[in-house]
Amino acid sequence: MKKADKILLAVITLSAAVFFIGGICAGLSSQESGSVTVYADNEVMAEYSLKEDGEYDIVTPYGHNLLTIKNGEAYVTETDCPGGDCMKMKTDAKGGSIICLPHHLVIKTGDGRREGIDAIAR
Amino acid sequence: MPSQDRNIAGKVSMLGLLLALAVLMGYVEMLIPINLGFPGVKLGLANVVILYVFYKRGTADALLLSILRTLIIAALFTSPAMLLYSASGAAVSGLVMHCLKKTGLFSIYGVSAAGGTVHNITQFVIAIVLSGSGAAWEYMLCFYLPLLLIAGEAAGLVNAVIVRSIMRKTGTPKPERKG
Repeated sequence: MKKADKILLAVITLSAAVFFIGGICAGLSSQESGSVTVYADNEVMAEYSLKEDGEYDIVTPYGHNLLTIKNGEAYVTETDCPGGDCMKMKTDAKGGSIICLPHHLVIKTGDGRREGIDAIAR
Repeated sequence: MPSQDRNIAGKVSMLGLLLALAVLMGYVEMLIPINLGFPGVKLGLANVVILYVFYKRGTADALLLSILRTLIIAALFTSPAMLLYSASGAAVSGLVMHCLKKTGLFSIYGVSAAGGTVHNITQFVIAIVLSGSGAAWEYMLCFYLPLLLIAGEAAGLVNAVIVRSIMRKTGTPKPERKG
């Protein structure tokens, strides 16, 4: 094996490592910067970052919900709908959705679906 | 010119044998799947034959063999869509290997490893262009491409080792033709 061979092999390996490490960094940051998207009547109403804790009052023509973001999780803490089902749901950066049917409201993270075993009917 | 005729006949039959071997190697490899869970990661045993011809008989014969092998494999075992991948991979890696060999700086190890890597890069680019989806693009670039780079490099090296030992057993390569 010649010297140029070794340099070539090192360059290939190194470039693979650079792509991979770059990917890990980019992947981690995109995981952290997960966002919450609020849809009312299927239209995007607002978007919040999962990183910042906060409470947001979401008012639709049908009623209001209080969306709380804390420790990377999003959930509804207050609502004026009769059922209050949306307060039983929560979602985070791994993906998922909170749905308030009476208020025509969908709060999504990721693509709105949760990966994993309970995402499939078995 | 009987001697000329015999030469051509000998060449044709030799290349025919090598082609059959190359096709068979690809088939044998299909029977023993080294399944690492990633599509596109394989040894490419048929390239042992191609690489041998590339060093023993020159680029022209290796190119001919490579084209024919690709067509035969596509016709017999895989789909026309796969032909696009294998043909372009073979063409681009063949070009790169030819140029690297010409510089005289690299031994069979470097040339083969570069060929394997370039082959995988080409197929990766084609996959990206064909799929055209924006979302998985970055993900593939960051996680799949490094894997393909390393896999191509390793496969190229292994093939080079095999061909090197074959050549040691069958005699040193003679530079009988240019190109």
